[in-house]
Amino acid sequence: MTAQVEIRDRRWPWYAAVSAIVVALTLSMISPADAVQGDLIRIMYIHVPAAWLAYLAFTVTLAGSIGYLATKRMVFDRLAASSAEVGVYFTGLAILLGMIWGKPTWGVWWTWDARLTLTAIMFFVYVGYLALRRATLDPDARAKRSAILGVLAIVQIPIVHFSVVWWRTLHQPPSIIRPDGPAIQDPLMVVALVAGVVAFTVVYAALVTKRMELARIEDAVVAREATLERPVAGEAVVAPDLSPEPGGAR
Amino acid sequence: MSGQWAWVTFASLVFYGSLALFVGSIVWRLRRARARLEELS
Repeated sequence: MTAQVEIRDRRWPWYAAVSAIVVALTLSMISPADAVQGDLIRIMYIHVPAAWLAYLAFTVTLAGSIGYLATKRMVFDRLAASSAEVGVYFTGLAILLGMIWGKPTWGVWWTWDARLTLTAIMFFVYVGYLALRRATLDPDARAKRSAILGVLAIVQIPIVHFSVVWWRTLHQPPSIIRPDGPAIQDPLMVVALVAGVVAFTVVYAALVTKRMELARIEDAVVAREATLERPVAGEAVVAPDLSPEPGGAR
Repeated sequence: MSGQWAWVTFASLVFYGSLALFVGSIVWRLRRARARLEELS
């Protein structure tokens, strides 16, 4: 009975994520087509939430990094790293979906627009964050170095977000959070977009929960391996006894 | 309009496919790590 409850507890993030995605998908399909973009607007219901979740993920990485630097508790390091990995996934997804939307709308897969270029730079900076973690074996040094990068890298988020306001770009300005109110007027479109953001947030929570569980087990494996008795260098090398046995064959 | 639905379908496939791959990689690494921990204990 206890084991069953445990399994149920472990799987709840996946169930919640699937349910949220089904609701968001349904709403995005029944919402009306846009007057200008037509049905291509439906790609926005996954592209925009993916971009927002990238912001959220890297903000959580910042919080985890500050938490580690302040307390030296490894749980914060695991939170920062897990969130960064999920954030890299959402950033890559936002870029890919933007390209798929851009080809039929702009006529090109990619253009060196400020928003697109800065998002690509942000993607590679956080890939570098993950690479830095793989390159450092000592857990404390790894946590400290990546926490410093996790704090510094956050400066990109406001630059990426406001790039469409600060520079003249091909990418459209914000549709929801803007000084003169949301640009989307149809309530069903707003509901579909908000449902997408909520669904992606649930998926993000599920992914980070499982990724943190993985990080905790991996840390336990490393700690267990370190405690295993290992031969000291040179100890295993024993010179063979080559002296002939008395009375042995010659 | 059917051309636009083709792009929407393509985007959905990219989303669900990548999500399945990412979730699968986490589940696979979790199973491998749990097995290694069992092996060591």
